[in-house]
Amino acid sequence: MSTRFAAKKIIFYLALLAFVLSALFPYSWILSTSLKDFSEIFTIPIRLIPKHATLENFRAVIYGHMDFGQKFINSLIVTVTTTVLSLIISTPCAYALARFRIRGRRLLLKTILVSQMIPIAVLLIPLYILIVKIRLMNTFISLVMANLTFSVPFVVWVLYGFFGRLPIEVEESALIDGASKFQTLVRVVLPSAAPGLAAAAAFTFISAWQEYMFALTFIDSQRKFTLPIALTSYIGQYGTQWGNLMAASLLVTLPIIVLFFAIQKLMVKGLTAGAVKG
Amino acid sequence: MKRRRGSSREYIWVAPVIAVLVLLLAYPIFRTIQLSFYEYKLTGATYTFIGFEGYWKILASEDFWRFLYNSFIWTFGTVIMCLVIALPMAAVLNNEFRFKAIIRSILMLPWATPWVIIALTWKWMYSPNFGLIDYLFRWVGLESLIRNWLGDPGIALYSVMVPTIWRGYTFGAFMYLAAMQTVPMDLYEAADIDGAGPIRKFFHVTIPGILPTIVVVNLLGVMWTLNAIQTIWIMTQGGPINSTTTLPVAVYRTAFQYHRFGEASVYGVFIGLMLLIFALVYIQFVAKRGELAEV
Repeated sequence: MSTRFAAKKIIFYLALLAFVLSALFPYSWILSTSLKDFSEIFTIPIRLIPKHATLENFRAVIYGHMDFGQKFINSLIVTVTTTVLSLIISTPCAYALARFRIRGRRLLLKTILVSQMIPIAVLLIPLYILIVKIRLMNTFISLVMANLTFSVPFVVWVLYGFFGRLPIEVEESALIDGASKFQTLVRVVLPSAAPGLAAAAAFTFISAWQEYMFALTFIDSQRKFTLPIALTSYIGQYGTQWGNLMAASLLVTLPIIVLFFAIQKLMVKGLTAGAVKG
Repeated sequence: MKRRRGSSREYIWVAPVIAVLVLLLAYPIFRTIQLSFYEYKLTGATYTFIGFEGYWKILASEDFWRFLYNSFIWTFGTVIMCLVIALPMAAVLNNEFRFKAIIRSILMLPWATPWVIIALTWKWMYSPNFGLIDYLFRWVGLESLIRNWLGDPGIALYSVMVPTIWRGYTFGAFMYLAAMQTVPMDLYEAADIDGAGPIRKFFHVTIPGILPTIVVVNLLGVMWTLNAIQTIWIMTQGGPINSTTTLPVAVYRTAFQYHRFGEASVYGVFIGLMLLIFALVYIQFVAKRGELAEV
């Protein structure tokens, strides 16, 4: 009995170890490459721990010709605008869907659910033609606009779930006290839905921060590149600066990872609310 | 605030979202369908109506069936592998062990990693001679198995699937874990009394208990994976010789490299039709679970 128990424990820890190693090994490779100088990256045998660790790659990324700071600001502008705008547009709608008896409510809910599944391949061409026609190529507005296609349905859906689960009595007494519906939403509902708002905002931020296809299609001037596009431009026709690229990757990922772990608990809760961005 | 028959003023609350849905989603879908019946040149914006001709041309081309086959392998291969890895992972995490909080966080890393970074990192890991994958194969003495991972048309698609699975299963595992924690304990106790071992309990209690979550996660997985362009685009651009070109990748390349918007739209319509099936199943399923019910 006790040997069986021990064997089970060993299998359990081996499985756990395998999962941990699997999650970590690309990161160890990113970190390792980012700390190596050019010649060591192309030295065999490969050493995971660099012989001459250097921060040269990070320096090259931040001060180099790529103008990483500018790209970082570009990404920040697009991402923050997308997030704020999505919340402003979606919050009243989610509340109305959860609390008002409006006609076509179920239809709207279903439409919002389906619209989270619309393939980007179907959206890219018409949006591109539209953006060319209204002369918004190479603008951040075009990216924010395109980002709304995924963020708005998603935020409405998550907030709808949150609002629906709040106790209705507090809102009722606010209305009896003479508050308007809008005042009730702002003063009573939003404070108690703060975790939901935070989760929706964080999700939107994370998706918009890494958005690639729209930026690839709508932006072709280097100065307007967002970070994901800037990163892929390190891949050169005549060889890639892998050290620089991996250092830049770390810098791009860091804010997302911090945000992700800050809202980890909310995430898993928000997920069970129905739909998620993967 | 019982829900009263709404006054028309309440529509102001939903109007902005409806505007977004119409302008940025319904209109593009309509345009894609429309464009699929035309030959369209962006330079000069000239349209020539060709009706279903574009459809017949594509259905008769070998490429289309190749892309469809690739999409199928790519989508279902990825989703099934994710399921196969995520279920045991969730079962393992559903135990008590030391440093659980830290280990959970580490295991969430792939899910927190942006797709662009994943694609670029794996591209570098697959790099011939100096990449980590070749090194690992040499290290364990399997040198003979080393291939040109992204350059060999026979395996490139599978090579691109690996990072997608690496990120995908984490998401599944945490969803399943959350669901497993809601399976009532007395079901396990009853199974104990019947003398069921851990494997039997897993298949007869856990799996049925979390089945709705499994269905939702995998339906979403199919739709997300089928739609994904960026990982493939960054790693192989659909090559070598079309071996990693799925239908969405074909849309992107046909439109933005070959500038054949009509033909690309036909591919788009096919993708839309395929997704529609999954989307309808998904909606039915979610609706039944009460997510759409009156609150």
